Amino acid sequence: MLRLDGIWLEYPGGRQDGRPDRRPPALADVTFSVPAGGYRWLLGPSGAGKSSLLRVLHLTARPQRGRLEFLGHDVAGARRASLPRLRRQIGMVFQDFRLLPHLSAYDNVALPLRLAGRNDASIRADVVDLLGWVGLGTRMNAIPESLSGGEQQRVAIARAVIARPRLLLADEPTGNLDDVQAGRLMQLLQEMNRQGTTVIVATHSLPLVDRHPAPILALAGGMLVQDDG
Amino acid sequence: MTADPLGLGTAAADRAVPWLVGAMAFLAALAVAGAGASAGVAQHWQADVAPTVTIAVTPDAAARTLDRLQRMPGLVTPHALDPAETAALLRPWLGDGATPALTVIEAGVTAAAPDAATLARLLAPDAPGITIERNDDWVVRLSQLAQFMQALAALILILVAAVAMGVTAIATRGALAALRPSIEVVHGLGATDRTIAGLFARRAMRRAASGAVAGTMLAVPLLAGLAALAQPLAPGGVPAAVWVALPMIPILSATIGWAIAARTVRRWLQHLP
Repeated sequence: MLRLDGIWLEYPGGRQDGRPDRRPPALADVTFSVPAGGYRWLLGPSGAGKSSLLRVLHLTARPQRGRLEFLGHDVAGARRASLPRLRRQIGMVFQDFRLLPHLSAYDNVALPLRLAGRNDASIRADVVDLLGWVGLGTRMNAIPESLSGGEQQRVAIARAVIARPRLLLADEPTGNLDDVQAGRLMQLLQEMNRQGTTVIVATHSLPLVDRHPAPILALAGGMLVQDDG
Repeated sequence: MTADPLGLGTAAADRAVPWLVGAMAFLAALAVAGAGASAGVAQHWQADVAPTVTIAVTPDAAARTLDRLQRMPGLVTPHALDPAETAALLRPWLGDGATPALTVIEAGVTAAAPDAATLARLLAPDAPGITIERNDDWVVRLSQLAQFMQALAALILILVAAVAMGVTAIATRGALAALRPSIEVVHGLGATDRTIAGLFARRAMRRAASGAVAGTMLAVPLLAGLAALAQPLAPGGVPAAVWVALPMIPILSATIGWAIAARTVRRWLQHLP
């Protein structure tokens, strides 16, 4: 379902004196594959390229070189107009939540379904159920500003999984959660995985990895240094 | 879809759009009315004033001139005015008791009639020193003035449309910059360019339309007042075509707002993967 071959990503931005930037690439010749229904931990120190890799997998960063295959589509060579349909198959939990600040928790979670063309009447039960499941059944009308960091993270998680994506990506998803909520999140990710969703979770937390063993992808300096797959 | 998922209502960039578009619509309404009114005046005078030609000749040449005029195409019932009629004609310039030294011949004019210069050339051999005046010459000049006013109005409308386009584009770019994080989130959730551009375009359309309706409505009482002042020149008031054209201003403004915002957003989105 997911195959990367020689992915190379550099961020634009030269030096002010006009000479080429000598920064190393964010990703250098990254090659791995994950089968449908696979689960991977994505590990590496800060700056190793974990977030960049997640952006490439989320189709919100286009690598300069390499081949990315997702659900049988060659994404790297795909037309730009064909990407939104593929992005709707991907759920993403950001480290910084990225909730839309003026929308309620309900509307944030409902947005992926609305973008997929579902009408309000048909989505209400799904959204209410999921918000209840993540413990926000009574805060559905709250805007992100009035929610705690942990609550915002749970809204972000609910938004990422509401459309039952084929691929679920998470960048440090437990960073703002207490142990109980982190446990519930892992339960949710594993349940999604059991139902066939491919899951890739970037984390610094080795205890979390130890508690939930799964194959590891490890990055260092933009290069893949471990692939248990 | 949530009515405003991007929070466009929170962006300050387009707050001035209704005011600026309203001012542009006000100017456009005046331009349209000015063009329509001048065309109406020209049409009114052309319809009401029967075109005639007035020819002044020396008395000894009057009979020959009259004879030639009666045989010319396009001239209707040429006849010499009697001395009393001529004196009445000259009274505004010469006062009572003036004795006309020239004979005045008057004839109706149709489209087949020669113009004043051609007529003078044709008659000059029989009537040296002849003077000819067609009373529809100034109506023609008025018509030319109306055409000039219409061209001027068209130019003003183009400028107004250009300003409205510029204002919309600048406001849209400002909103794009302010809302970039939200746009990136929605883009990442799988929104198409069309969806995102549509959100901006619908808002720009509504704001341009509201401003233009207000600007046009404000112009209406002013136009009615000007029409009342111009009543002696144009008894028909503001032509009906103007009242029909005025509602087009908000419609055009809304269309411009929609199209420019959509185009601006689509171009901006090309920078996203």
